[in-house]
Amino acid sequence: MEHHLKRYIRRIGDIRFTIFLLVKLFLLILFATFAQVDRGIFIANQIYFTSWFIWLSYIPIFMGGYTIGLLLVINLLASHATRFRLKRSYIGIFLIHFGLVLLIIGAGLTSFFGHEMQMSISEGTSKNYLEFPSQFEVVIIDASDPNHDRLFTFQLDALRQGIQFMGIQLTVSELFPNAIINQRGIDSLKYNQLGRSFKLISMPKTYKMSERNIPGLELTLQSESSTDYMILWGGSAIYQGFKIQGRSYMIKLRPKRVYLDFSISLLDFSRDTYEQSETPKAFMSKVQLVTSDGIVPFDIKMNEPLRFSGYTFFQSSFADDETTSVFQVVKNPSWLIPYLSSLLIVAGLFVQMVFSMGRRSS
Amino acid sequence: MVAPLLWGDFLLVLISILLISFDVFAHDYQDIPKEEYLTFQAFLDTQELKKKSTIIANSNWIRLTYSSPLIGKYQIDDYTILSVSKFSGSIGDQLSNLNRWRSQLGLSALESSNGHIMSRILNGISTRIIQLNHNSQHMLIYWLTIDDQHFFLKVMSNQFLDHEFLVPFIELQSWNTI
Repeated sequence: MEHHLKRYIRRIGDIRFTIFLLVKLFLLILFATFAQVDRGIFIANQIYFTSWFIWLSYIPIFMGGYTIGLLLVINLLASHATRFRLKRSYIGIFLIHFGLVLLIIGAGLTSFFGHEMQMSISEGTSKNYLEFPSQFEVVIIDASDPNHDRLFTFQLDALRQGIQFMGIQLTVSELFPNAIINQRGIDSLKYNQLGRSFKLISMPKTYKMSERNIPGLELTLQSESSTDYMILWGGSAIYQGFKIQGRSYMIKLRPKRVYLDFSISLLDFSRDTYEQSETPKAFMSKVQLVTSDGIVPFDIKMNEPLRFSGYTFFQSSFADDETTSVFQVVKNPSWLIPYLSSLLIVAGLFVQMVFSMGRRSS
Repeated sequence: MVAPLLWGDFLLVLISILLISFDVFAHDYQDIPKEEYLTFQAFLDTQELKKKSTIIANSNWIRLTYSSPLIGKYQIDDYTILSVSKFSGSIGDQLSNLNRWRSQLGLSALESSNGHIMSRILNGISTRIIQLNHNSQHMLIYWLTIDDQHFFLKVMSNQFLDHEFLVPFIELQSWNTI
């Protein structure tokens, strides 16, 4: 039994299996590189690397990044379990392999638990939330409490099926993944508020990095006594209203948010350019970090991000004639792992080199 | 006797962990700090305000029909017509605009705009004044710049026009909301 198990583990840890997986990884990178031309980096990454399989309709046709990464880790561990000896000469190899395993695990953890968000603040204002610019959700807000607002969030997929909210049925009758809004020639009495004077026009989905898809939807609000129709558009700043049993609510389609227990105020944004050129040399945002413990001033520069409470705020861009600063915000609990694994690999290589030199001289 | 109790506790903990992991106890709402929202009514109010800001013309001027990019056209007297246009963003440099107006009056193009454009602040707005005369045709242009918005006020007349001609009219308007 033990013999069979060992043989099986030895097969899993076979170098030929490693090469097979590395070839698969090479092909995966190749496919993803071709795909990103038409579909953009974000979608290509989603399809090829942060997935278990690549699907053609419902059929898995190739291993995704997760599967290859997991199999590489298993392969490496199996190889160690069967071939590794507790000898001084193996320490270098052990460190290198351990660093590699850690690197793959770190990449997996980042993919599962890491988030990239955005915060854009105008000078003289503050924000206490982050946004996922390409993920949209419908929010309903009850602002009747003088101390806080109550926020109800709904995913677009759930709304397609229809959901119950305080006794009324909300259903998306039409969803456009990318849309623009345009004024109607004649008001449509079917719709309330925005939809009365404006209509949604479906646009082809964009995969360019410089553009983003802004969804729009037609929503039906069905109660026992009446049916209302609304249009919601992700690019609009307007919160439309409706009432349920005399209580007022606001509704909006907007980018998904993460609320923070601190806020950031932008005092000033400045941009330096190279002499006699509009090419930017440096960006800087003078901000104040406002927490329950007090206010901390900080200058966020291009390579000097603000790190606080697990979030890292990088200076990303600016808007509105340099009066709005845009930060790329990253939350990555496993951000230390790549540094640690690189250190281990370098240490392993060094140890291995020392042992090889020692062996040669002896 | 103890063992079944332990197993019962274990199962209870296990079921609780499963329920928590499937978000069964998750709130379907979140209380957030108070925020300012642009409501539909507030949006309509701003639209109404915008509509109210139009050009205030002298009562004896005759309003003429116009089309975009003009935002107003008036007959001031038997010889003089004022047209007001508005542009956003890039509209070409000073010299190209000057030569465009000169060509409308049949004047030759210039190499430089130096000495042909007067700069003033009118109604708090940076204004360039261009006076062109050719035979019996006279043109007076006020070029107002507010951020990236440009207003051109062009007066055409058969009579000579003093560069102060339209200053009271410019002082009267709320250019920011037109």
